[in-house]
Amino acid sequence: MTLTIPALRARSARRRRRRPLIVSLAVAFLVLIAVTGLLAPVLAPHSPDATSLLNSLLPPGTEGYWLGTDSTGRDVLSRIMYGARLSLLAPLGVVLLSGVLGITIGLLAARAGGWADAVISRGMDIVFAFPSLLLAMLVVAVFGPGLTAPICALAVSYTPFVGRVVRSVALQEGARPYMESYRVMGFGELWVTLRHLLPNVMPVLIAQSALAFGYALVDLASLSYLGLGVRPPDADWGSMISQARSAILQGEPWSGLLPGLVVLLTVVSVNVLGEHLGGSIGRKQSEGV
Amino acid sequence: MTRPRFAALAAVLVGACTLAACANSGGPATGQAAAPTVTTSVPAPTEDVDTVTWNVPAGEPPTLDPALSAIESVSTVVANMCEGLYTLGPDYKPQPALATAIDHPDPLTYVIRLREGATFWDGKPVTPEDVVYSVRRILDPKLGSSWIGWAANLDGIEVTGRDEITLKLKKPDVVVPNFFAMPAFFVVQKAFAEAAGKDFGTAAGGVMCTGPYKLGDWTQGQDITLARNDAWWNTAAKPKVKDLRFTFISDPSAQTAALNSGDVDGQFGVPRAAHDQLAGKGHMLFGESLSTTFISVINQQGALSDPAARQALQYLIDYKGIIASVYRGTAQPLRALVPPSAWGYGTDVFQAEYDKLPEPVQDLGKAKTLVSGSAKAKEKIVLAYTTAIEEDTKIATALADAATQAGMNIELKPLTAEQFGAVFSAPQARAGLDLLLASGYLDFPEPLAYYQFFTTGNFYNFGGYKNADYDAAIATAMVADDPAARAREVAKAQAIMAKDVVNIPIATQYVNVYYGPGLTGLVPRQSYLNTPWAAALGGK
Repeated sequence: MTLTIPALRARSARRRRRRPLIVSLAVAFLVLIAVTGLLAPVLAPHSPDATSLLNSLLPPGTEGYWLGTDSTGRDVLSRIMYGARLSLLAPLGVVLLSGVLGITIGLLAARAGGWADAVISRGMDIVFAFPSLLLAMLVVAVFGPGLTAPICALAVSYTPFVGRVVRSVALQEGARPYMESYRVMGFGELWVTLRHLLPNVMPVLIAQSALAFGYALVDLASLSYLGLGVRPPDADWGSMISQARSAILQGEPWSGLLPGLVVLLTVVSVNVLGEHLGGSIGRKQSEGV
Repeated sequence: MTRPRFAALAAVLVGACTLAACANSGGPATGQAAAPTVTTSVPAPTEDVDTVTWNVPAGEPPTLDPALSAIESVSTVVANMCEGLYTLGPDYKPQPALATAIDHPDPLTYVIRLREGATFWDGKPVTPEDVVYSVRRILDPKLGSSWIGWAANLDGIEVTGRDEITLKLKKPDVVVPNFFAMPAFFVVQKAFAEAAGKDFGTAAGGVMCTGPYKLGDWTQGQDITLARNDAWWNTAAKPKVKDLRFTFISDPSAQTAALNSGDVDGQFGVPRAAHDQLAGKGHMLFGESLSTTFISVINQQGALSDPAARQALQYLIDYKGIIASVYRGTAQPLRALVPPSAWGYGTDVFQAEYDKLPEPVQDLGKAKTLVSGSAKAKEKIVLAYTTAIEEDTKIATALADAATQAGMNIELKPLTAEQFGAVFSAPQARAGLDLLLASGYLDFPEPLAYYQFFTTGNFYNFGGYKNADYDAAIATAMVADDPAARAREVAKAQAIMAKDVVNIPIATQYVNVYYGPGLTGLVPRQSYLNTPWAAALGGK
């Protein structure tokens, strides 16, 4: 069989766009973690809070405790499953909140221009310069431990990342002829921005958010590790690592190592996915799709 | 948002593996360890040692003023420099130090004869004026010494002879003589302290005491070095260690690494997780302490107003699991707030009454029965504890789970060390709290020192406990010079308190110490905080 040149080009393009294995694995892992968290009450072999001091620090592979137990005898597997809920929902909250704030500020700066753009951009520079984890710790120190305060603090901290990207894309799109033609046709600035500019910004924003999700997960896990995150006895991967510190010292690392591994794989998966999305969008934009 | 976070996270995990692999070489395979034995004696040192580096896990002391020696970081150092009228011996019994004898001609008077020939580090003699000045200095509220509490019944203290002072009380108080061996009576040189003013006890101002070690260098943020006082009056106990250098490593992993490598020679309060590793390296020793871990009912108005709820709480405590897993065998369960090791007198009386108290055993069945018959017991109970003590976090977590099983609702309230400290001093910090999980220790073996806190109106009676019979027993004990009679009254109060369940004792932890294989002489005792423990240390 012989192929025509257009057919060859089409197959080549499909091959180029075929999802890499690493991305497929990342997506599969994230889906697995999300489903595990969602169905934790059904799937988890034990209650995440059920203690048994005389069964503490059992190693992985122990009958009834596939991943062993922590220092108070709680099932590590069950806590990882339940921990997925807070560990994934909290960074999602950070991403959504910082997304809303970032889009609003970014679009405002791009569309207003002039002194408003300058003030907003310098404001973002100031927030950008402040370490996100430190800001979150300060907020926790004022408002007390829990998830609400760190989520809000990290969202504020991440807003400039989103805002800058949105502003940059919005400035590029705003200079395109189609935007000018809408204005000439008499459409209002707000309508043009929301109806036509925002959809063009979204793909880049989605890729950016995937990366931000991974960073937020690590930051929130760090806060939980420091005892500033979720309240006991709630399960959370960061607090699980923190609670295993002395167990690691006494040669029983599993109760901390396993949730640490899950954090690592989740962050890697999210970043792989984010980079893939960013790459895909870039290709589509360069191909004019 | 840069890439290195991946590397950092991976490094943490790899680091954890490496550390665990190292630890595994000397550690047990499960969460519980074989119960360690209590050490009561070790071979005396025979060799001099030039320098011993000792770590203070509580961190660098904010001051070395003996009047402020009430926290571990200060006490561990100051105890080797400054002395009181008496000191505590190996059996916690008072032994003469800067005083040689005390006459107690009537219940209100103590005539104290001072040691002749005792000198400060600068060679100047210790005078009665120095002693009276030191005691009065602590009584000044502006100084902020927590030792001021001993003087609630003090009428006055005066110089009454060339080597004599007389202490007068307004009313009898049998607890007072115990303080003669505490920092409340540590003697500083009047002229030096007055000249130093506010700098006394700081790195700039220094201190002037009489003990076996004198202050050498204090490089803030780094270390404190004490030099042996070769002119110490106690020639029978001349220290073998020439220089004593204190470091302030507070991170448990770093402490373990420093002790393992020999960078640090010793430490009190070694992290429990490191015991097995260090036992194979040098001397990891345990001793009976005067400590107690307990849950105090600090709100008797809510769910815990029902005695059934308080009784149910006691049945929820997994004593066996706590001793085996949380304390890894380095503790004993308690039936009463004050541990048996703190019965400084009337031991037979105390033992007989102690045996009558309920056995410390978890019984979820009884707890469920009590809860099912009490509407109050099902209401929310807020349990506060400090995250600074990992063991307390585990106990609180296990208790909350057991409560859920029994139908109770315990909400955990983890507090930082600072927040937890505020609970003991500020009523507003106790707002909303029902229970307090805490650990403490007695400075001397006198049960009254704790039980008096639960009398009506006492500052530390946070729950507002009122029981006329309890108050009467304590009041009688406070004036009972006869040890057996006093023990009977204290034991009576102890039984009343146990029946009312206003305080739920959990365990008494062993005090522990580690020192390297080349050292000997030091037996771990609670009294290390107020006695010159380094004088016993030396080479072998």
